Amino acid sequence: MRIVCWFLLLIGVGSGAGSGVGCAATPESRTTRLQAADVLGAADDVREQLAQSDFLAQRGATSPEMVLLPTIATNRSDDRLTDGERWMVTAGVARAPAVLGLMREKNIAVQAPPTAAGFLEQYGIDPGAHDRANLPTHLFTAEVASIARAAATGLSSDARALDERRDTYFVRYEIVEATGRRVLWNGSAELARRATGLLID
Amino acid sequence: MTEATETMHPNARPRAARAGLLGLGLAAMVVATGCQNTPPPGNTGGRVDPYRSTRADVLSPEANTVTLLEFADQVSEAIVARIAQVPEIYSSPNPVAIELGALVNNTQTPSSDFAIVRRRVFGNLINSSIASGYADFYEAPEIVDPQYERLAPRDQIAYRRDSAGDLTNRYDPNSIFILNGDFGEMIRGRQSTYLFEMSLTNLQSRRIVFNEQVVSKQTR
Repeated sequence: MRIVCWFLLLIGVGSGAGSGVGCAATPESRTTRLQAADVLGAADDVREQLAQSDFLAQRGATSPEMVLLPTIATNRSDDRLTDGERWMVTAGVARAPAVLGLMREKNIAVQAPPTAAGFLEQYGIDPGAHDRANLPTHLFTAEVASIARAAATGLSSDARALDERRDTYFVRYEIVEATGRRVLWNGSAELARRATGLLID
Repeated sequence: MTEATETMHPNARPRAARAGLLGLGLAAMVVATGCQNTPPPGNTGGRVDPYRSTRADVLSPEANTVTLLEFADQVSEAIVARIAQVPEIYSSPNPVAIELGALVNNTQTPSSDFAIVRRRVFGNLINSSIASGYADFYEAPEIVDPQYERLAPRDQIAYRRDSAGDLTNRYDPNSIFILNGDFGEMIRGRQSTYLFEMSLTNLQSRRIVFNEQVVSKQTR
């Protein structure tokens, strides 16, 4: 009898811990901000789209050389993104090792941004002359945009209005002719985040 | 061995200890299964399917996000299905140019949301092998010109800039079709009726060669 009591007690404690402690640590999300995993996941999806694109399929090692300049992502979302985060959005696709390898096979040179060209002067190279000789023929652009929706959806235990917010993010990439403006390739990913709580928080 | 132990301890204490261990094991299992809703690693908590409406979508004063996404998909599919039947496009000796046009927003929804819709249609068309067989797609000069000005050497910019001050190429307006969007809303009580419209219009003649409309109701 005593053994059975011990057994039941332990099961009770276990299930209580399961629902009370273990799961209480994962409440509903309180933020709809873009997370690092979102940016990396979007880059994964878009790399796949680029690898399978007609744009790359139609090129080969003997195609005319393309000089591609990745540009910092434009942020048109409601979230705040630092310059580093915006570069992360671009670099996750344009400068990923697998993409660079693929580009090399297709005779596409990917350039470092002009901000990184300061090192040329250290070696006695005039960056202006260098730029003229290596003018990008195409731009690799990226953009993050979002649609935000928020509404009062109920009452909390202390009778305050509970709000729900949803942010749908769109991450978009393009390869564009630098002077012709023709878009040669377009890749995109989208995701949505939902959070509940008080908007004032 | 077990039998021997039991013989040595007839008060069954080791059995109680074994039962306790078993209980702990089961409790650990319950903890583990009870938390199967825990998000996987990588901050994915709070993620929802972009095509699933939430309460915030339905109750907010703006148009439902899912309706906007579905509208964009519907317009893209309609253009791809009908582009080959537009005489101004299929009879052109060279692929025509499609550029982003104007947005007319007469709703309570921010214009930036409709800019995303239009951008999504544009992107879908670029990826369509049928649409790109009939048209080339051009990025807006307001986006490419500043990039060129920022990145190209000064003397190159002076050389490139034409009398109108443009840095990037401009094309024959006869062969340009612009993707326009018109978005209207009628509000009665707690119900909004939306009329979303997208069209392709020749830049020179202003003739509408394609138009797609969606009427959507939303009750809050």
